[in-house]
Amino acid sequence: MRNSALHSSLLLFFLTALLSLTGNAAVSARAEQEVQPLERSAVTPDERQDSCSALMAKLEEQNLQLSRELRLIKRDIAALNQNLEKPGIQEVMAGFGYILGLFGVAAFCTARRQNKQNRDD
Amino acid sequence: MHISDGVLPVTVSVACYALTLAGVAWSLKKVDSADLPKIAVVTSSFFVASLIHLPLGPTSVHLLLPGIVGALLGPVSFLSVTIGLFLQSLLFQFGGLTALGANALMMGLPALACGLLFQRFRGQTRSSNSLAGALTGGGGTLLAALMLAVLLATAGEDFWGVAKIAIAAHIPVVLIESVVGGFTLSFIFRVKPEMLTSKPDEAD
Repeated sequence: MRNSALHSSLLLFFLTALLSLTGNAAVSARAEQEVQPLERSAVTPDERQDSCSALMAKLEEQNLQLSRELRLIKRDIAALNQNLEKPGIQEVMAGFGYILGLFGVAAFCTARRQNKQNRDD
Repeated sequence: MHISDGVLPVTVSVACYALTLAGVAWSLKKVDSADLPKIAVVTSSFFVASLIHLPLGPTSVHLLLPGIVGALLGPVSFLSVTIGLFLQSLLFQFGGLTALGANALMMGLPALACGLLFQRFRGQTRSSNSLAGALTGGGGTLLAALMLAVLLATAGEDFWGVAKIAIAAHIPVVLIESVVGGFTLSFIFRVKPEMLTSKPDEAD
């Protein structure tokens, strides 16, 4: 039984190593795709112009997407700020506390005055 | 319906503060120490009432309750309204602190008027009491809207224009407060009618 436990743990270890390796490989491949430099082959100036404008178009499109996402995020932040300003249960409880405390102090003073009056009689 | 800071001119603001302080002093004298719990509860409900919003197209209006406060408390309602507005201004940021005097007049004078009207037209039966309660509940908000128009007229706005807009915007509030006032006062009349009678001033 100890052998089978050793085997299964070794198998698990190798599987996780393999998975992490492939995961890393996928990440690095994607990174390579993003940072791939333009291939400098024998192209005419016109072709270079076309690829340049294509790159510009791609950049502008990315820019638009980013600005769209930024706008959504800003809207979310504005909504959150509005929600923060709304009075919550804490303010209500604070108000109750103040009111009851004020009238409690008034009642206490009144009761003391009445006690003093009763004692003086 | 609370007026914010910077809307009213300074002279109007100061004059309203002076009147409010006088009103609070007068109201304090009328406090009966046995009524303190009732005043506390009514003040708390006035304080919380402005959190109940009623949608009105793109914006919303909130409940005010000056009529019901006036009907229940009578002359003490001015003090109650002022305390409630002060705490609303501090904790909820409803209305500015410099406009507190004006806001207190705007809500407190209708409350006093509704208190007087309620005591005058109460009658003895439950239905007459609930009708008077409904009328004062709705009338309180209408009078508050008119007071708002008066105060904004001192700031240079057109009186009838503001009055029409304020009343039109608060019609759902008026309706709901009439219903709430009617039911509340009918219930109190049934359960504890001595809470509604105004005691004569005790001779010192």
